[in-house]
Amino acid sequence: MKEKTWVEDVNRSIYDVKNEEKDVYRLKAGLTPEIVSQISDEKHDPQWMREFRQKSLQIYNEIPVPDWGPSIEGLNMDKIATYVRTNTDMKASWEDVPEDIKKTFDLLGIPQAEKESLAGVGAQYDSELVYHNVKAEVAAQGVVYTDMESALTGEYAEMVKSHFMKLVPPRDHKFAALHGAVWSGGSFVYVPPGVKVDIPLQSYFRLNAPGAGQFEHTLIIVDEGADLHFIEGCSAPKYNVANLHAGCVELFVGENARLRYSTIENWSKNMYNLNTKRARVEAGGKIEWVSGSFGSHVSYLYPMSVLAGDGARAEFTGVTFAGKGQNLDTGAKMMHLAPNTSSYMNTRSISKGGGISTFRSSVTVMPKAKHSKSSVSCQSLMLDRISRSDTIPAMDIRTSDADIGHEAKIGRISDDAVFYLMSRGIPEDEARAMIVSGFADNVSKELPVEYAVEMNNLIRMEMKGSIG
Amino acid sequence: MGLDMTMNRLPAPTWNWLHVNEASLAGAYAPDEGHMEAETPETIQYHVVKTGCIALNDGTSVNDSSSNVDAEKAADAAAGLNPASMAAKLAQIPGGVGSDMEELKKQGNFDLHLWTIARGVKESEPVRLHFRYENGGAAQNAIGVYAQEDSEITVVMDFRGIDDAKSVSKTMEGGFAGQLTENVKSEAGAAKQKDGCENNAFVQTEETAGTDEAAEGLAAIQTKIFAEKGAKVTLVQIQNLEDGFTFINDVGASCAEGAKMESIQIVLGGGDTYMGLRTNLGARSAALESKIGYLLDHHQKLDVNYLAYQTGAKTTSRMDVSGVLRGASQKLFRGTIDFRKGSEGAKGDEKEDVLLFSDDVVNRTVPLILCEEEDVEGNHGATIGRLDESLLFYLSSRGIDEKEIYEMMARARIDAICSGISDEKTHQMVQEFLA
Amino acid sequence: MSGKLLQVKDLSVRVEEKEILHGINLEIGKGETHVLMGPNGAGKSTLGYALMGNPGYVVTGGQIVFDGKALEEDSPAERAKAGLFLSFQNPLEVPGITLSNFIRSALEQRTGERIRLWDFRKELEAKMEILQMDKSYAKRDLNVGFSGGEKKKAEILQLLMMKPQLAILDETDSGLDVDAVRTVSRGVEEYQKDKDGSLLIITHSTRILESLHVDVTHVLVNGRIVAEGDGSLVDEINEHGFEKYE
Repeated sequence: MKEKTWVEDVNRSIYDVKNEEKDVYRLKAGLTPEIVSQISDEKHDPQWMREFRQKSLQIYNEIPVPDWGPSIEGLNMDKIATYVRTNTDMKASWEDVPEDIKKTFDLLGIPQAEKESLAGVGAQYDSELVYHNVKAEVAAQGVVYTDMESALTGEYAEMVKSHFMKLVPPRDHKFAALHGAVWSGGSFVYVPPGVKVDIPLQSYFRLNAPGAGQFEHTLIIVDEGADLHFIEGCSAPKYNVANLHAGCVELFVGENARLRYSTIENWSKNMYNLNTKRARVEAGGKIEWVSGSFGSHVSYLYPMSVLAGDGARAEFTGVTFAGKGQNLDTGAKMMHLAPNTSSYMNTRSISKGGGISTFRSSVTVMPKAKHSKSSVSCQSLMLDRISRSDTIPAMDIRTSDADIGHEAKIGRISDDAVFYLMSRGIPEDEARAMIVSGFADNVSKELPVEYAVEMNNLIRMEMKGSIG
Repeated sequence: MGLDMTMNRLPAPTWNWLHVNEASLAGAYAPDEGHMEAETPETIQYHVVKTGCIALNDGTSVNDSSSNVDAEKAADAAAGLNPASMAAKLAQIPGGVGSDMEELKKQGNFDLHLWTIARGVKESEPVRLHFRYENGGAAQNAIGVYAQEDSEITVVMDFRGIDDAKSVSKTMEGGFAGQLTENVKSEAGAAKQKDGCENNAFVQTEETAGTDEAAEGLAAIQTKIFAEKGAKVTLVQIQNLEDGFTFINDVGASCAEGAKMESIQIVLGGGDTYMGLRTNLGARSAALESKIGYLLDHHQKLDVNYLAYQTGAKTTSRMDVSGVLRGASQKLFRGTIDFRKGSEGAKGDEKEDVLLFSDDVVNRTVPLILCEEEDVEGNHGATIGRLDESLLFYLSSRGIDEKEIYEMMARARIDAICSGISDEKTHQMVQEFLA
Repeated sequence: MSGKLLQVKDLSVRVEEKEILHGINLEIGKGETHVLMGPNGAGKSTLGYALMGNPGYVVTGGQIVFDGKALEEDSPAERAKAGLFLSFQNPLEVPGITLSNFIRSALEQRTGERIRLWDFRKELEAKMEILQMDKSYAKRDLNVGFSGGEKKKAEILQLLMMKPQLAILDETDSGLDVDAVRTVSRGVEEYQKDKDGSLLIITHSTRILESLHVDVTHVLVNGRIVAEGDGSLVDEINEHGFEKYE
């Protein structure tokens, strides 16, 4: 006999703390050249950026919405205010951050992480940076960590200009174009050659105002032989109006450099998360993606690694948990362009309470990528029979001198495992939660301990939140 | 006049830039019926059902609907087992190539050549169907296989160019083939009375009119299979066409409770080959076991779409794909295990193993698992690239040169797929093609 | 020249980034039986692979001279043709190629001549008889689904059919029950007397050696040969282990 544990959706009210709306400045909903131009004015964009935004808007209007993924019919761009700014300006230290914002962060458990080994925090409140602090020793190493707006006109303006949306061009897809037109906020990091940043840089993004889209841009350049770990955490309160997130992350990993980019995404469950992330890795360099997707209503998220230099490497470790009302389409893309490159993908997806999770991937090995290796392993767990789990990988291999492996598994929690744990006195719901946490340990093992704990709590809540 | 076809659609599309969501063929035109010689064992009945006689009882037309279970039931209930009703049932089963195949069939009058085996009869001697295509020809065939309860039938098809066939037939014992061919004719005669449709014997042997404008040959075949409760159908297809041919091979099968579909498809030739196989596992414990082996060279292209559509409880599917790409050949394998509601306790396994011999090849593998049922087990695996280094070392330590090892391993792949064929004559034929 | 069949001089071998063997010296004469003993991880299998030319085992120094010819540049296939044979500790499974066809192709490759099927079958069956292998194994795919013991027997069968000048047996006795060890030993004896074959037996136990006459024993610890002696050294190690060498 199979015992089923029907677990209701986690009670999200603790996350859904809404600040009083203090939008001093709120753009009219809808998207026209005038609006985009207004954004440029407000941002004091340099001329090239003004043009870039207008061109992106044109492309946005030309390209159709994706026809292959989850439905985004619930999204009405005309109703989404694309730009929201709060009345807090740049703050130098934690003490100066307004109380109501602090309270939200508190409830999200953010200050704990802050207390630990926080290097610098660029926590984005709505579309502006409200808090920014780079630890003295990191700055002393010559590391630049700033918000994108200042980076556009600051000392590194040329570097920003030569990299901005070069990896993810607006033509890439409709929401990349949208991003190019209306992007706002985000972080810029530059790590000079040979510098090893031994404490992770962290930033928090969240959406706050109803109907607000968030289009933050993250640009990280890790120069030759340098080393960086960047952590991005996201969460957002819940509103009824469909919310859109179309951020863009561009990572440039220099020769023999290493970048680890960790994300725990926990958007509120009305969010359309159409995020684009991409890394370009030069010879001997390495990108490591660690990615947990828990929130949002619909997600399209497939970090791409372009292995451009000899011996470049990429690793992607991900977990996706789709609960009630969620359709999470996640995965990764690996593009091998140079010899001796290697890629490694290890993902877990969990579907529960009618949620849909799709693992989607591609591994492309071009003729020049001789002696390349790729290994993909994806596992899916179905927690009940009202959910759905799809696995859609693709491989395109164009050289004989390659070693490509792929494996996928789909299944359920074994009754034997549950029985075993219960025979040791663990209640069934706890046993199931333990098994699911264990299933997701590919990601939790890769996270700093405070994040791993947070992630496991999240899984526990998703598994047994409203019981008891 | 030609048909722009979209074929082998991936059941769940992915990024368009990968170009794997479907295959397309412009201007497909095949008005003639392909030349076929048949050898039918005594225990198996052969009928020709005229296109007009495949009218469905409720007047609906043939469609590609994926939820055809009810239609099957309706067709079942409405008619006793006569060839026309069997044909109607077969017409309801969608194939792997897709609905454009039905459009292509409208370019001519293609009678359904139907082989049936009676309840409880288990025949180990296969029905042999030899297809011979004219260079530059444009031919199609429609084949049906209907296995009644607890029966077992094997159908072996080989596809060759007509010139190639002449040389090969010399090596075969002519008397035997002739005798069986006659047998087919008499069976066909019997069928004539049964189904009441005019029977045009089996195949026109006169030459199909070669049109000059068609520089290359187009050959298409559609095979529909139904296995009743507890029945087992084995379909073996061996394709050794010349590079000039475009070949469309559509298979649709449906298995009732406890029935089993086994397919072994070997692709050794052809220019562009489109192959689709879709199997409905709609009833409890229905099973699919399919194997493909391919050896491609030059500019040959192979485009495959396999789908195991599992709606029945405890159904099982297995796809085993193994091949070698040389020269500038290209291959795209789509394999989908679709666990639908109701498939509790179902299992699905797919595996592809590809050896690449050249840097000009393009290998694409898209193995999908779609799942909306909890209690299922699905697995897929793929290994692509050069030979495993430790294996290479093991074999070379026995004194075999690397080049020779690759040759051996290429043949070994086909041999491993063939080992599932119990029929000795078919083995010999494959060996001849490989030699 | 001393007429030695195999001369290993100052051989150093690296696997990935790590040097495993540091300056090994070893000589094996025609018809001699040598034993290479050592604790786990000493580098015994590495020596076997390096002698056979596994590309993953890089010779960083020294020489391997076989039958008067330097081997370091030769491919594994060339070494096999020269008369070297390595029995693998973990033989690989090769679907699609039967044991019988495989041995025949290997023999034909070596001689460059077609082998008459009748003669081949007769000999194969005779050798399988010695190894107490069921005839059906000849038609099964090489090592596919074989048990551990069957795999080892299949290795010895290849040895008997290929008749090399020097056979390296890498842990051929590991994982076998008493009866299987006896059968495998019988096969090895057959090889010795059939062609005055030389042997290098890699083992960390001594069971396979009970019925064989051992000429020289080498003890390998941490990538170096630390002791050599005659057959009696086997018994001594059997009793006291490797402790005094570590």
